[in-house]
Amino acid sequence: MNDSKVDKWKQACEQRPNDELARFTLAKALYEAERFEEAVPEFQRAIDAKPDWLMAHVFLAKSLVELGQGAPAVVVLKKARELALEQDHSEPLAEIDDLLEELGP
Amino acid sequence: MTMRALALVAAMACGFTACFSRTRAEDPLPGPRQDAAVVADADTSKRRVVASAFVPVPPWEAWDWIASSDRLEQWLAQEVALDVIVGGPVRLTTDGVVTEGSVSAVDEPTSMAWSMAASDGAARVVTFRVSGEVGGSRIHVDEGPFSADRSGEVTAVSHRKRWGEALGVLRAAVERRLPTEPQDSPFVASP
Repeated sequence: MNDSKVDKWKQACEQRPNDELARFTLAKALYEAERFEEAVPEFQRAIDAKPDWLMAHVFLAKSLVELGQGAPAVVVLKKARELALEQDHSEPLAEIDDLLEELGP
Repeated sequence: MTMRALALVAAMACGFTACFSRTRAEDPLPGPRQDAAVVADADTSKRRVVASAFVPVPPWEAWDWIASSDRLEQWLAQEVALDVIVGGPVRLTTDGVVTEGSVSAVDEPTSMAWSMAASDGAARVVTFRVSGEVGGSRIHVDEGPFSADRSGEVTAVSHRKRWGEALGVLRAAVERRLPTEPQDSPFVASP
Protein backbone atom coordinates (compact mmCIF):
# COMPACT_ATOMS: atom_id res chain seq x y z
CA MET A 1 0.00 0.00 0.00
CA ASN A 2 2.69 2.49 1.03
CA ASP A 3 4.90 1.79 -1.98
CA SER A 4 2.01 2.18 -4.39
CA LYS A 5 1.14 5.44 -2.67
CA VAL A 6 4.74 6.60 -3.06
CA ASP A 7 4.68 5.74 -6.78
CA LYS A 8 1.38 7.53 -7.26
CA TRP A 9 2.58 10.75 -5.60
CA LYS A 10 6.00 10.59 -7.30
CA GLN A 11 4.13 10.59 -10.57
CA ALA A 12 1.97 13.51 -9.39
CA CYS A 13 5.13 15.48 -8.48
CA GLU A 14 6.67 14.76 -11.88
CA GLN A 15 3.53 16.05 -13.56
CA ARG A 16 3.14 19.04 -11.24
CA PRO A 17 6.62 19.94 -9.93
CA ASN A 18 5.41 23.18 -8.32
CA ASP A 19 2.55 21.52 -6.45
CA GLU A 20 3.70 21.73 -2.83
CA LEU A 21 0.75 19.73 -1.49
CA ALA A 22 1.62 16.85 -3.81
CA ARG A 23 5.24 17.17 -2.61
CA PHE A 24 4.17 17.07 1.05
CA THR A 25 1.93 14.05 0.40
CA LEU A 26 4.80 12.24 -1.35
CA ALA A 27 7.10 13.05 1.58
CA LYS A 28 4.52 11.71 4.04
CA ALA A 29 4.07 8.56 1.97
CA LEU A 30 7.85 8.03 2.07
CA TYR A 31 7.84 8.64 5.82
CA GLU A 32 5.01 6.13 6.33
CA ALA A 33 6.95 3.62 4.19
CA GLU A 34 9.92 4.21 6.51
CA ARG A 35 11.98 5.49 3.55
CA PHE A 36 13.35 8.31 5.67
CA GLU A 37 16.39 9.14 3.52
CA GLU A 38 14.12 9.83 0.60
CA ALA A 39 11.54 11.60 2.76
CA VAL A 40 14.01 14.23 4.06
CA PRO A 41 14.66 16.04 0.74
CA GLU A 42 10.95 15.92 -0.15
CA PHE A 43 9.92 17.53 3.16
CA GLN A 44 12.70 20.06 2.62
CA ARG A 45 11.33 20.91 -0.83
CA ALA A 46 7.84 21.34 0.63
CA ILE A 47 9.30 23.73 3.22
CA ASP A 48 11.23 25.62 0.52
CA ALA A 49 7.94 26.14 -1.28
CA LYS A 50 6.03 27.09 1.87
CA PRO A 51 8.38 28.10 4.69
CA ASP A 52 5.66 28.32 7.37
CA TRP A 53 4.46 24.74 6.83
CA LEU A 54 4.42 23.48 10.39
CA MET A 55 3.73 19.78 9.81
CA ALA A 56 6.39 19.60 7.09
CA HIS A 57 8.90 20.81 9.71
CA VAL A 58 7.63 18.29 12.27
CA PHE A 59 7.85 15.36 9.84
CA LEU A 60 11.24 16.52 8.55
CA ALA A 61 12.53 16.52 12.13
CA LYS A 62 11.00 13.10 12.83
CA SER A 63 12.63 11.72 9.67
CA LEU A 64 15.99 13.13 10.78
CA VAL A 65 15.53 11.54 14.20
CA GLU A 66 14.85 8.18 12.52
CA LEU A 67 18.11 8.62 10.59
CA GLY A 68 20.01 9.30 13.81
CA GLN A 69 20.61 12.96 12.91
CA GLY A 70 19.69 14.47 16.25
CA ALA A 71 21.48 17.82 15.89
CA PRO A 72 19.80 18.95 12.64
CA ALA A 73 16.49 17.57 13.97
CA VAL A 74 16.75 19.89 16.97
CA VAL A 75 17.30 22.90 14.66
CA VAL A 76 14.20 21.98 12.64
CA LEU A 77 12.16 21.33 15.79
CA LYS A 78 13.06 24.74 17.19
CA LYS A 79 11.79 26.35 13.99
CA ALA A 80 8.67 24.14 14.18
CA ARG A 81 8.14 25.29 17.77
CA GLU A 82 8.21 28.94 16.66
CA LEU A 83 5.68 28.19 13.93
CA ALA A 84 3.41 26.26 16.31
CA LEU A 85 3.38 29.23 18.71
CA GLU A 86 2.79 31.72 15.90
CA GLN A 87 -0.02 29.63 14.47
CA ASP A 88 -1.47 28.69 17.85
CA HIS A 89 -1.29 24.92 17.33
CA SER A 90 -1.23 23.37 20.76
CA GLU A 91 -1.20 19.66 19.84
CA PRO A 92 1.85 19.77 17.54
CA LEU A 93 3.52 22.02 20.12
CA ALA A 94 3.20 19.30 22.76
CA GLU A 95 4.66 16.75 20.34
CA ILE A 96 7.52 19.09 19.44
CA ASP A 97 8.33 19.70 23.12
CA ASP A 98 8.31 15.94 23.79
CA LEU A 99 10.72 15.38 20.89
CA LEU A 100 13.01 18.20 22.00
CA GLU A 101 13.06 16.76 25.50
CA GLU A 102 13.93 13.30 24.16
CA LEU A 103 16.75 14.74 22.08
CA GLY A 104 18.18 16.63 25.04
CA PRO A 105 19.78 20.10 25.18
CA MET B 1 -28.47 -33.63 33.70
CA THR B 2 -28.01 -33.14 37.43
CA MET B 3 -29.85 -30.47 39.42
CA ARG B 4 -26.56 -28.65 39.82
CA ALA B 5 -26.01 -28.58 36.06
CA LEU B 6 -29.57 -27.39 35.47
CA ALA B 7 -29.09 -24.60 38.01
CA LEU B 8 -25.86 -23.59 36.28
CA VAL B 9 -27.55 -23.48 32.86
CA ALA B 10 -30.40 -21.39 34.31
CA ALA B 11 -27.94 -19.02 35.96
CA MET B 12 -25.99 -18.63 32.71
CA ALA B 13 -29.20 -17.91 30.79
CA CYS B 14 -30.19 -15.23 33.32
CA GLY B 15 -26.71 -13.78 33.21
CA PHE B 16 -26.73 -13.57 29.41
CA THR B 17 -30.15 -11.91 29.48
CA ALA B 18 -29.02 -9.44 32.12
CA CYS B 19 -25.85 -8.69 30.18
CA PHE B 20 -27.77 -8.17 26.94
CA SER B 21 -30.38 -5.99 28.68
CA ARG B 22 -27.72 -3.88 30.34
CA THR B 23 -25.90 -3.30 27.07
CA ARG B 24 -29.09 -2.32 25.32
CA ALA B 25 -30.10 0.00 28.14
CA GLU B 26 -26.78 1.77 28.68
CA ASP B 27 -25.38 2.09 25.18
CA PRO B 28 -27.04 4.11 22.45
CA LEU B 29 -29.14 1.88 20.24
CA PRO B 30 -27.77 1.48 16.75
CA GLY B 31 -29.40 3.81 14.24
CA PRO B 32 -29.99 3.07 10.57
CA ARG B 33 -27.05 1.58 8.70
CA GLN B 34 -26.92 4.62 6.48
CA ASP B 35 -28.97 7.75 5.84
CA ALA B 36 -28.74 11.09 4.04
CA ALA B 37 -31.13 14.03 3.99
CA VAL B 38 -31.45 17.70 3.11
CA VAL B 39 -32.46 19.73 6.15
CA ALA B 40 -33.24 23.40 6.72
CA ASP B 41 -31.55 25.59 9.32
CA ALA B 42 -34.27 26.91 11.60
CA ASP B 43 -32.79 30.40 11.87
CA THR B 44 -31.45 31.05 8.37
CA SER B 45 -33.68 28.71 6.33
CA LYS B 46 -30.54 27.76 4.39
CA ARG B 47 -30.20 24.11 3.50
CA ARG B 48 -27.69 21.58 4.77
CA VAL B 49 -27.02 18.00 3.86
CA VAL B 50 -26.72 15.61 6.76
CA ALA B 51 -25.72 12.02 6.25
CA SER B 52 -24.37 9.19 8.33
CA ALA B 53 -23.23 5.62 8.06
CA PHE B 54 -22.66 2.88 10.59
CA VAL B 55 -19.28 1.17 10.31
CA PRO B 56 -18.45 -1.96 12.32
CA VAL B 57 -15.17 -0.66 13.72
CA PRO B 58 -14.34 1.26 16.89
CA PRO B 59 -14.25 5.08 16.75
CA TRP B 60 -10.46 5.36 16.60
CA GLU B 61 -10.48 3.19 13.46
CA ALA B 62 -13.45 5.10 12.03
CA TRP B 63 -11.40 8.29 12.47
CA ASP B 64 -8.77 6.90 10.10
CA TRP B 65 -11.40 6.62 7.40
CA ILE B 66 -11.98 10.39 7.50
CA ALA B 67 -8.46 11.58 8.31
CA SER B 68 -6.11 9.41 6.26
CA SER B 69 -5.71 10.20 2.57
CA ASP B 70 -5.24 6.49 1.79
CA ARG B 71 -8.56 5.65 3.37
CA LEU B 72 -10.37 8.67 1.95
CA GLU B 73 -9.24 7.62 -1.53
CA GLN B 74 -11.18 4.41 -1.06
CA TRP B 75 -14.51 6.17 -0.75
CA LEU B 76 -14.49 9.94 -1.18
CA ALA B 77 -12.32 10.91 -4.16
CA GLN B 78 -9.82 9.33 -6.52
CA GLU B 79 -6.98 11.46 -5.16
CA VAL B 80 -6.93 13.03 -1.72
CA ALA B 81 -4.18 15.21 -0.32
CA LEU B 82 -4.54 16.79 3.07
CA ASP B 83 -2.66 17.96 6.13
CA VAL B 84 -4.84 17.25 9.16
CA ILE B 85 -4.15 20.39 11.13
CA VAL B 86 -6.16 23.60 11.39
CA GLY B 87 -5.26 25.65 8.32
CA GLY B 88 -3.82 22.63 6.51
CA PRO B 89 -4.72 22.19 2.85
CA VAL B 90 -7.33 19.74 1.53
CA ARG B 91 -7.54 18.76 -2.11
CA LEU B 92 -9.95 16.23 -3.59
CA THR B 93 -9.61 15.17 -7.22
CA THR B 94 -12.05 12.95 -9.10
CA ASP B 95 -12.12 12.57 -12.88
CA GLY B 96 -9.85 15.60 -13.16
CA VAL B 97 -12.23 17.81 -11.18
CA VAL B 98 -10.38 19.42 -8.29
CA THR B 99 -12.06 20.70 -5.14
CA GLU B 100 -9.81 22.58 -2.75
CA GLY B 101 -10.09 23.99 0.71
CA SER B 102 -8.53 23.87 4.11
CA VAL B 103 -8.98 22.16 7.43
CA SER B 104 -10.93 24.55 9.65
CA ALA B 105 -11.24 22.44 12.81
CA VAL B 106 -9.77 19.22 14.17
CA ASP B 107 -10.71 17.41 17.34
CA GLU B 108 -9.02 14.05 16.90
CA PRO B 109 -10.51 11.42 16.99
CA THR B 110 -13.99 12.90 17.15
CA SER B 111 -14.53 15.60 14.56
CA MET B 112 -12.98 17.53 11.73
CA ALA B 113 -14.25 20.33 9.50
CA TRP B 114 -13.14 21.38 6.03
CA SER B 115 -13.88 24.78 4.46
CA MET B 116 -14.22 24.05 0.77
CA ALA B 117 -14.62 26.14 -2.35
CA ALA B 118 -17.30 24.22 -4.21
CA SER B 119 -17.30 23.75 -7.98
CA ASP B 120 -20.34 26.09 -8.21
CA GLY B 121 -18.22 28.84 -6.60
CA ALA B 122 -19.89 28.70 -3.21
CA ALA B 123 -17.97 28.32 0.04
CA ARG B 124 -19.19 25.44 2.15
CA VAL B 125 -18.14 23.65 5.30
CA VAL B 126 -18.04 19.87 5.51
CA THR B 127 -18.01 18.58 9.05
CA PHE B 128 -17.22 14.96 9.88
CA ARG B 129 -18.02 13.54 13.28
CA VAL B 130 -17.43 10.08 14.71
CA SER B 131 -19.61 8.66 17.48
CA GLY B 132 -19.57 5.28 19.16
CA GLU B 133 -22.47 2.87 18.76
CA VAL B 134 -23.15 -0.69 19.84
CA GLY B 135 -20.88 -2.87 17.72
CA GLY B 136 -19.09 -0.05 15.95
CA SER B 137 -19.19 3.64 15.16
CA ARG B 138 -21.18 6.11 13.16
CA ILE B 139 -19.58 8.56 10.78
CA HIS B 140 -21.70 11.70 10.46
CA VAL B 141 -21.31 14.21 7.65
CA ASP B 142 -22.81 17.70 7.61
CA GLU B 143 -22.33 19.93 4.58
CA GLY B 144 -23.63 23.44 4.05
CA PRO B 145 -24.89 26.01 3.66
CA PHE B 146 -26.87 25.68 0.45
CA SER B 147 -29.13 28.57 -0.51
CA ALA B 148 -32.83 28.09 0.11
CA ASP B 149 -33.78 28.97 -3.48
CA ARG B 150 -34.50 26.51 -6.25
CA SER B 151 -30.88 26.20 -7.42
CA GLY B 152 -29.61 25.70 -3.87
CA GLU B 153 -32.24 23.05 -3.33
CA VAL B 154 -31.21 21.22 -6.51
CA THR B 155 -27.52 21.37 -5.53
CA ALA B 156 -28.29 20.15 -2.01
CA VAL B 157 -30.28 17.22 -3.37
CA SER B 158 -27.44 16.25 -5.70
CA HIS B 159 -24.96 16.45 -2.79
CA ARG B 160 -27.28 14.33 -0.63
CA LYS B 161 -27.24 11.70 -3.36
CA ARG B 162 -23.46 11.88 -3.64
CA TRP B 163 -22.91 11.57 0.11
CA GLY B 164 -25.32 8.64 0.19
CA GLU B 165 -23.36 6.89 -2.53
CA ALA B 166 -19.99 7.74 -1.01
CA LEU B 167 -21.00 6.49 2.43
CA GLY B 168 -22.23 3.26 0.83
CA VAL B 169 -18.79 2.82 -0.73
CA LEU B 170 -17.22 3.63 2.64
CA ARG B 171 -19.25 0.96 4.44
CA ALA B 172 -18.32 -1.62 1.81
CA ALA B 173 -14.64 -0.61 2.04
CA VAL B 174 -14.63 -0.92 5.84
CA GLU B 175 -16.32 -4.30 5.69
CA ARG B 176 -13.80 -5.54 3.11
CA ARG B 177 -11.04 -4.76 5.58
CA LEU B 178 -12.60 -6.72 8.43
CA PRO B 179 -10.85 -9.97 9.24
CA THR B 180 -12.48 -12.90 7.49
CA GLU B 181 -10.43 -15.62 9.15
CA PRO B 182 -10.78 -16.52 12.83
CA GLN B 183 -8.26 -14.48 14.78
CA ASP B 184 -6.02 -15.82 17.52
CA SER B 185 -7.53 -14.92 20.84
CA PRO B 186 -5.25 -13.97 23.73
CA PHE B 187 -7.71 -15.77 26.01
CA VAL B 188 -7.63 -19.14 24.23
CA ALA B 189 -4.54 -21.28 24.08
CA SER B 190 -3.54 -22.25 20.55
CA PRO B 191 -3.79 -26.01 19.91
